[in-house]
Amino acid sequence: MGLLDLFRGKFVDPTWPGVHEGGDIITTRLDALVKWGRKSSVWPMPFGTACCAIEFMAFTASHYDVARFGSEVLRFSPRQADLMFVAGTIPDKLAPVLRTIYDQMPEPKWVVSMGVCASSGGFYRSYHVMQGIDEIVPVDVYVPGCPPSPEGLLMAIMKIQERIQRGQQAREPQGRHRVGAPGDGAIDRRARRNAWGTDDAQRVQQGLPPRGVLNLRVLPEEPAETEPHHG
Amino acid sequence: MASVVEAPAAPSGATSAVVRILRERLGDRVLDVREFRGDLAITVDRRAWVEAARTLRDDPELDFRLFLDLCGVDYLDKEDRAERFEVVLHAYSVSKKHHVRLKVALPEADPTLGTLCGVYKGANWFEREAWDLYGIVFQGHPNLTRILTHDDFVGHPMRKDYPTAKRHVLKRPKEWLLSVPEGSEHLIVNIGPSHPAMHGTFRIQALMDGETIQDAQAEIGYMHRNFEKMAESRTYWQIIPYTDRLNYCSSFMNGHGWALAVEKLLGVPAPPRAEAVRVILSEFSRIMDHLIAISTNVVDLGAITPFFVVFRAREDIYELLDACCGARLTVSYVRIGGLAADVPDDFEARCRKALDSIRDVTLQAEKLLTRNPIFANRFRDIGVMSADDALSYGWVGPCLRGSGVAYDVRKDHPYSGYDGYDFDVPIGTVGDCYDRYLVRIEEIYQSVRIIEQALAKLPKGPVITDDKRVALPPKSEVYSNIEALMNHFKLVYEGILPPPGEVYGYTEGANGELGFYVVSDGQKCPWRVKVRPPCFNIYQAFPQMIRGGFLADAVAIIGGLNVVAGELDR
Amino acid sequence: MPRCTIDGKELEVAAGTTVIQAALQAGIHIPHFCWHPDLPVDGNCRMCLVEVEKMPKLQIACNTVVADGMVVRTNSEKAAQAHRTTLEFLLVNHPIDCPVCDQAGECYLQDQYMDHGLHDSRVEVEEKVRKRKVVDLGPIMLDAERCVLCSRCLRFERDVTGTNSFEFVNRGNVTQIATFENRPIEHDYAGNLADVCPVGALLSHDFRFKMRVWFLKETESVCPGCSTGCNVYVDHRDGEAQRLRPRRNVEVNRSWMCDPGRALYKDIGVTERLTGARVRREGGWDGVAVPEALDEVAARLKAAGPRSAFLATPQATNEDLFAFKALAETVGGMLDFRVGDPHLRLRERIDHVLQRADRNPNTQGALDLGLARDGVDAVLRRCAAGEIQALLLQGPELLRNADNLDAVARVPYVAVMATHEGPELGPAHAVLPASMWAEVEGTVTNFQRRVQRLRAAFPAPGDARPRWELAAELLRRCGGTLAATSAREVFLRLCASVPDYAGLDYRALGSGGRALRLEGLAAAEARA
Repeated sequence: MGLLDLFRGKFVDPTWPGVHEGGDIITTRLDALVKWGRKSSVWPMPFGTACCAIEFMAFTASHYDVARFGSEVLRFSPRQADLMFVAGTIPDKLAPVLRTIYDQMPEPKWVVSMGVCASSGGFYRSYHVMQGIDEIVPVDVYVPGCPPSPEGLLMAIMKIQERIQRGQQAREPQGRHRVGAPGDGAIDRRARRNAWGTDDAQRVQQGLPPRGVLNLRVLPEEPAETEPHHG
Repeated sequence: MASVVEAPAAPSGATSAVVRILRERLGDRVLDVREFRGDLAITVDRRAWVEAARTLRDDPELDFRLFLDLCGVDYLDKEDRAERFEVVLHAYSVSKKHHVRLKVALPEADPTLGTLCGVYKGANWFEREAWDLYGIVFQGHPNLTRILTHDDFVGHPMRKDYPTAKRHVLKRPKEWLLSVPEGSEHLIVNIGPSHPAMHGTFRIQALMDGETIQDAQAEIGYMHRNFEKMAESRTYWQIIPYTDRLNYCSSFMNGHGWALAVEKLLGVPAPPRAEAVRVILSEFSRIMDHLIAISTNVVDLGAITPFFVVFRAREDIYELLDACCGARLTVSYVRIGGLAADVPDDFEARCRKALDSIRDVTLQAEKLLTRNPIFANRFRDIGVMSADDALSYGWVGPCLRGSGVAYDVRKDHPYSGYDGYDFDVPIGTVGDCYDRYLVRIEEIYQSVRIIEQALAKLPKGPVITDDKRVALPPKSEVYSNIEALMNHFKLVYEGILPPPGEVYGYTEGANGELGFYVVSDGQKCPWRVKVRPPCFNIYQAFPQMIRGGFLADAVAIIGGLNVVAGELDR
Repeated sequence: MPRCTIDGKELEVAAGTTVIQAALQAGIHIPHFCWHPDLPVDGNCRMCLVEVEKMPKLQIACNTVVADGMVVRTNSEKAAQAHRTTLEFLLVNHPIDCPVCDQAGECYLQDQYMDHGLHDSRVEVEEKVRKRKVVDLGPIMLDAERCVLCSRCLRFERDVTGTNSFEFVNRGNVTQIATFENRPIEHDYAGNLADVCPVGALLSHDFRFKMRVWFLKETESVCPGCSTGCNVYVDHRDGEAQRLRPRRNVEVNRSWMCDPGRALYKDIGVTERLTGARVRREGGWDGVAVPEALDEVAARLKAAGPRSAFLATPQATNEDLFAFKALAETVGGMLDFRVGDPHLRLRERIDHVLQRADRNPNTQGALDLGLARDGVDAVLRRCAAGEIQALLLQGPELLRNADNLDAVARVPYVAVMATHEGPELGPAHAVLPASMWAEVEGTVTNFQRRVQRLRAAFPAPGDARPRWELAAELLRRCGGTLAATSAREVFLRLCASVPDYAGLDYRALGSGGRALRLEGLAAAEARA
C-alpha cells in the first residue's frame, strides 16, 4: 500500500484541482507539501519559567491533549524543536539564556509568547523583569492571559500553523527599541501622547478622522416614501 | 482606623522566658522589647547580635532551633527610627512551640553586622539576599555575593530610594560557578537554568569525579520578579494576585496566608463560613501541589504515566476553583476579611466529585509507584537529611516531616479553625526521598479527611466581614445610596488602612510554613513585606545533599524537594 | 498662656486660640467643614462638636476659645455620636455622585465618612431634594445639590477678594448658594473657590473631568508667575502636570493663588517644547546633540572673549543665574538681565490680594547675585555698534521685543537657551534646550527676599537640561569649573559666595522657604 492509499477517497476530494485518477495522484508544489508537513508536526519546546508553565502542563496533559494538533512531541532540547513556548516571566537574569536557546533552535522557527508576563512584563513593572520577551527574540503569536487558558494555547498552535502555511515568520525582535529606553521599557505616556498628537494632525490633513474614531459604514439612503407616513 | 500604637507591654507566658534569659545573658544590650498582636519582638545591640541568636538556639529553655527567616528593612526618612536599616531574624522552637523576632538597627553610614552562618546553616542565603537587596554587609560571611539579581546589576533594589522600575541589562550570564581544581581530571556539569529536571529555572553546577558529584553550587534568581518591591507600592488587597504567583502550584494557599497575616495586623477576623471555605480550598490546593510534586518528580526519572493519571484529578480541582471564582490556576479568591464571593450552590457536589477523583488517582499513583522496585531503588536512602540539619537549614513542611520532625502549623498553631478538624501529621523515619514521597501521599489522604469534615459542617452566613473599613459594601447598596458609594470609593482608591505595627503571619503552605512579615506604617501600602518562602531554605540545602552522590540521584532529589521558582526567587 | 488638655494631651497655647487650632497644634484632627485656617470663623456646619468638661452641651471646636484648665475630648462616645449624626444630616440630600464628581478623592464628606461616619443609609434615592446642577459660573461650575452650605465661598468672596459674588437663597432644605442672575465669577481668584469648597459643589472648569485626583502625585514648588512667589503644589501624573494648587504659607500667599498663576501648568507639557539642540548651518537648521552644540557655542564665546555678552533672565533659578554669572566672568564678557528698572516693579501690586507687576519669579535673586552689572541697554548699544562678537541669552524673552532685533542682528553669533519653539528663535545661531521650572531643582527669591525651593516633579522631555547645567557645561568648555554636579551643590557654592545667603542649604529652606535679612535688602539695592 502506497502512501497515497491513505488519502484515496478519504481526505482528498477527487474533484479538486491537482487531484487526478480519483486521488491516486496528487500534484502540488514542493514547498506547499513541505509546509503542510511542517504545520502538522510542530515540535514545541517549552521554555517554562513560572505559573504559565503549570498551565502549559495542563495543555499537554490528558484533558486538553495537544496531540490532536500533532504537537505532542515536546522537546526539551532547542536543537530538536521548531516552536518555542515562552511560558512565564522572563527576568533580566534569564534574558541572555532565552536568547541563547532561541539561537540554538534550527531554522525555520517560531515563538509563542505565552501570558502577559512574556508579552509585556505583565504586572511586574519592576527592576528585574523584562518588559516583554520581544525585546530580545522575535515573537510570532502573543497569547494574553495570566495565565492563558489551555484553550488559548490551542488557539496559538492553530495560529502558528496558519503562519507556517502562509510562510510567515517573525524575524526581528519587535520591542528591541525598548531596551535601555527612558523609563526602562515602561510605556512613556508623554511620548506616546505626543506621537499620537502629531499623528492625529497628519491624519486630519489627509482628511482622515482622528485616531480612535471609526467611520461607521453609512447605509445607502432609503428612497423617500411617496406617501406621508401617519403611523 | 483607630490608631493602635505599638506599645511596650509586659510579655506573658512562654515569651517571658525569652526576655528573661536574654536580659540575663546580654544585660542592657537588650534595647527594646515589644509585643504587638501576640508577636514578641526583641531589639538587641548590634554587637550582641550573634550572641543573642546563639543564646536563642542553645538555651535548653528556649530551644529556637528552627531557623525561619532573616531579612533587611529600610526605614528611610522615618522620623520614629533612629537608624535607617534593620535586620530581622525569625526563629521557632519546635519543642516549646513559640516564635521569636530578633531585631537589630544598623546606621546608614555603616550597615555591617556579624554573620549568623555559624549559628544557623540556613542564614547563608538569607544574608546574601539582604546584602543583594539592601546592601547590608555581614562580616565573616563565606560568600557574600549577589543571589537574586544578576551580576551586572548596580545598586541595592529594595532600598527605598531605588526606583521600582530601574532595570539593568545583563549581557552574559555567569558561566562558571565552580572551578576545576588544578591538576585534577574532574569535569564540570552544568544543569539549568533551562533544563527539564530543573522545574522552572534553577541552575546547578556539579564538579564530577566520574559519576560522583565532588562539589556542587546552586544559582538562583532566574525568577526574581520583585514581589516584595511591588508590594510596597500596592494596597493590601492589590497584593493578593501577586501572592497567587508565589507558589503557583497551590495559588489559593498563598492568598489564604496573606489574608490571615493582614487580618492579624488589622485585628479583623473573617466570618466562620469564609474560614471553612478557605480550609477546604487550601486543602484541595495542597493535594494539587503534592500531586504535581510527585508526578513531575517521577517524570524526571522517566515514568511519564503517573503524570497523565494525576492530571485528571488536577483538572477536577481546576474546575471546582473555576466554578468558585472564574480562574483555574491563579485564583485571587480570598479578600482581606473573607472571600470575594460565596461559593456556588453545587459547591458540595463539586467537592465530592473532585474528592472521588483524587482518591481514585492517588490509589492508582500509589499502585504505580509505592511498591514499584525501580521507583523504590531510585528513591530509598537518597538525599538523606538529618532532623538537626533540617532545622538548622530552616526546612519546614513535608520535607521537615520526612526527616522526622512533627511540626505542622495546622496542628501546633491552628488557624482558620483547623483545631476543629481531626487529622494526623505523618512523619518519616529516615529522611530520604522515599520518606518525603510517603509523607506527601499520606498528607493527601489527611487532606481528604479534613475536607470531608469541613464539608459536613460548612456553616451558613456571610463570607466576608461586615467591617466597613475592610470590606467593600454590596454593589446594590453602592448604586443606591451615598454612604455605601463613598465607602466603596474610599476603600478602592485609598485601600485598607491598618494600624502601624508589624506582624508575622504564618500558615502551613504546601511546602511548609509560609510566613508573611508585614510592616505597616499606617498608610495604604505596606512599608515592607517579606515572604518567608519555604523553598528558599529547602533548596539551599540541595548542593550539600547531592555531594558525594550520583548525578542521577540529584535529579531524583530535586523533584522530591518540590522547589517552586516563583516562591524561591519571589 | 492658657493650658488645656485635649484627648489626654496637655498643651499650652497662645491666648485667643480656638480649640480646633489648639488640637491641630497637638496633631489631633477635629472633623470640620466650614472652618478654614485663613477665613473668619462662621461655625455653621456643626461637625466639629467636642465634649468639654463641665459644659453641659457639646461645643463647636472652631469657635470655642481655649480657657485655662479646659479638658476637651474630641472622640468620646458623645462627640463621636454627634459627628456621626451631623454627617448623616449633611448626607440626607446628597446626590449619588461620586463617580461623576471631580471632588471624589479630596472630598471632606468621603474622608469624614470613613473616619467618623461608617453608618448605614436611611434615605431612599427618590426622597432626596433635587437642586440645580451644572451651573456654569465662568471659571467655576456650581452644583448646588452637593453643597453642604458651609459658607466658605461666601466668606472668601467677602473677606479676601471683596467681591461678594455669592449669597444664600431660599430657606430650609431648599437653601442653596447662588450668584446674582447666575453671573459668572469675574475676578482673578476664582480657582480658590474650588479649593475652599470642601465638597464637589464648586469645581474648577479647567480641571473638570480631566483626571481622577488619586492618580496625581503632588510636588512642592513655587509659582513662577510673578515676584510674589506663591507656594504651590504641582499635581502631575506620568510626567504631565495636570494642575497647580496653592500650598499654604502664611508668610507669602496664605492658602490662595491667582488664576493666571494656575494656568501656568499648561505651558509645561505642550508639544512645541524644545527637546534637542540645533545650530544654524548653510541653508537652515541642523539638529545636533547637546554636547556638540555646547562645543560650538563655547568655542564662539571663548573666541569672542571680552567682546561677548551674556543676558540672563529673571525667570531662571538662583542656581541658573549663579552658573551663568560664573560663565560670564570666566569668559570676560558683558553681563546683565534688567529691562527697565526692576526695583520699581518688583514690589508693585496689581491688585490687593497677591499679584505683582513684575512677572518674573526671581528678579530679587538676580539682584542679590549681582547680575545687574552692565545694563541691557548698554549691551544692546554695543551690539548695534557691532562690537559684540557672541551673545548668549539665558532665555528668549529679549528676542520677543521687536525693538531689540536690529541690534541683535548685528551680532555674528547668537545662542539662546529656550524651553519652547517659537518664531523668536529665528535670529539665533544656536538653540540649547532648557528644562522648565517644574522639571528642575532650584531656588527662587521673591519680593520679600524669601528664598524658596522648586522641586523637580518629573523629568524634562528629550534632551532638555536645567539652565545651570548648560551654563556649567559651557563653563567647563571655556576653561572654568563650577565644582558642582547637582542643583543642591550649586546652591551650596552660591551660599558660600553671596554673603546674604551664607549658611543656607536646601534642608534649611524647608518647605516654606527662608526669609533673608532685610538690612541686606537695602545693601543689595545700594549695590545695584
